[in-house]
Amino acid sequence: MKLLIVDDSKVMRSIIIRTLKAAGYGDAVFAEAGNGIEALKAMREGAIDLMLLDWNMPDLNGIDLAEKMKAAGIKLKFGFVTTETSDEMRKRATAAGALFLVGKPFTPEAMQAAFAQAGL
Amino acid sequence: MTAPAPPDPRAALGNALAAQMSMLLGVKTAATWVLNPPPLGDGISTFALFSFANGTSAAAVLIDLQLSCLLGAALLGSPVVPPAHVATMGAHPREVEEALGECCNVFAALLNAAQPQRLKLTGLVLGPADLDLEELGACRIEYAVSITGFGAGRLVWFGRAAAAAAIMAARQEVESRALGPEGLGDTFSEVIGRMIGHPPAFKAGSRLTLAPSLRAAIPVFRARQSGGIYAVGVCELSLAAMFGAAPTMIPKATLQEQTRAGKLSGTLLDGAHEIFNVMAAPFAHRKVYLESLCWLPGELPADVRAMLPNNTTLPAWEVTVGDYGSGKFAMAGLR
Repeated sequence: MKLLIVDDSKVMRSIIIRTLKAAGYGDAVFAEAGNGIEALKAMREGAIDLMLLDWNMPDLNGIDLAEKMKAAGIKLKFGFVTTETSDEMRKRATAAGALFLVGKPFTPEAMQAAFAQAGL
Repeated sequence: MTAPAPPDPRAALGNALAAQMSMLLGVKTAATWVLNPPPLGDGISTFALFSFANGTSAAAVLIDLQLSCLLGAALLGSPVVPPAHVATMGAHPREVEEALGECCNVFAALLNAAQPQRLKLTGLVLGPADLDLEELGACRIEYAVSITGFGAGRLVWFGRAAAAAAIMAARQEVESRALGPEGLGDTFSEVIGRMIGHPPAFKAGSRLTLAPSLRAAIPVFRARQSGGIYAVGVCELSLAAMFGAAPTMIPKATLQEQTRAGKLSGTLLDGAHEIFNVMAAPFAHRKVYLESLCWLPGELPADVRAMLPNNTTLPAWEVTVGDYGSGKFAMAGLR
């Protein structure tokens, strides 16, 4: 399984990966991107099974990326990992095709539940 | 950790009432909710009547004659007017009535906190304790009020607006427990623990002085809806470095080097930023977010500086981050 972690914070990417390993996904291949543009590049480079997106990022932020992907007909499973998790954000994320929205700080159990929601 | 039982709204309103009256009177005042009070008798009492702007009656507060005379004396710093004298005259002396009006404005504030419509004090009247207040609804909440150094009496809230005030007081009590030094320290410990793999210890009871030489990170938390600052953190630089180091287990030597230099950078800064970011999580229901991270010594935005006057001493937590060590963290402006 290949997972793409998209967050402008390198530290946050490493925290997400560490938590995913603790959640039982240690065998996954982890790819990283620092913003939406780098994420698009990573998508082109290899088959991604699931993308975890931050909401607020410089250049191309997470929700803009998700909405662009939907408009372009790109089929890729993804969900958000973000600090703010308001109802409006949930609605917008769902409309853009997100399978889950995990709030920071998260636990391994929260990641397991999100992955189950994504059918993984 | 077991969550404490939520307070009974009637007891919570008593606590809020006692706190407000203690501030107003300048002496400790208790208001204990009485579940099955004996009848008030057929003497007269003082009634404060509250209504909405359109004139609809909203609530009433009965203050027994003894207590209203004590309140007047406590507020004015004058001898207690004998209740029998008030009963004979059919009115409080004018200055006592004005003082009681101030006290009733405190009651109005408690009522308004729970109302979408503003209500106001429409008047103070003397009347029989069994005055018909049926139009206000069935709600009746009685308190035994004790004013230190003066004495005690009975005070009764009537009306649906009083019930709403009690429910609001209970909500505020729960929130203030969660956001008090102990509760919030535990919450911070939990949310940061999720990020770094082990919860740091937040021990309340410390103090942090904003001396001009203080080297600290200043996370600024803003409320998205109001646009105003919700709170400002003050985190000793050494602790900010520990926060920054812990998520990726940066060696102690690196953080000591950056702490000595007086500035965090690279992964250490990134990590500290992420920790302060999740410290907004306990306030997510208020749509609070980490807006920026400033540093002391240095220039601060005017609204942030206004919350951190030089040489102010803030209550703080002593925070221990695993083997890295400990430092102080305070929050200013937390509501």
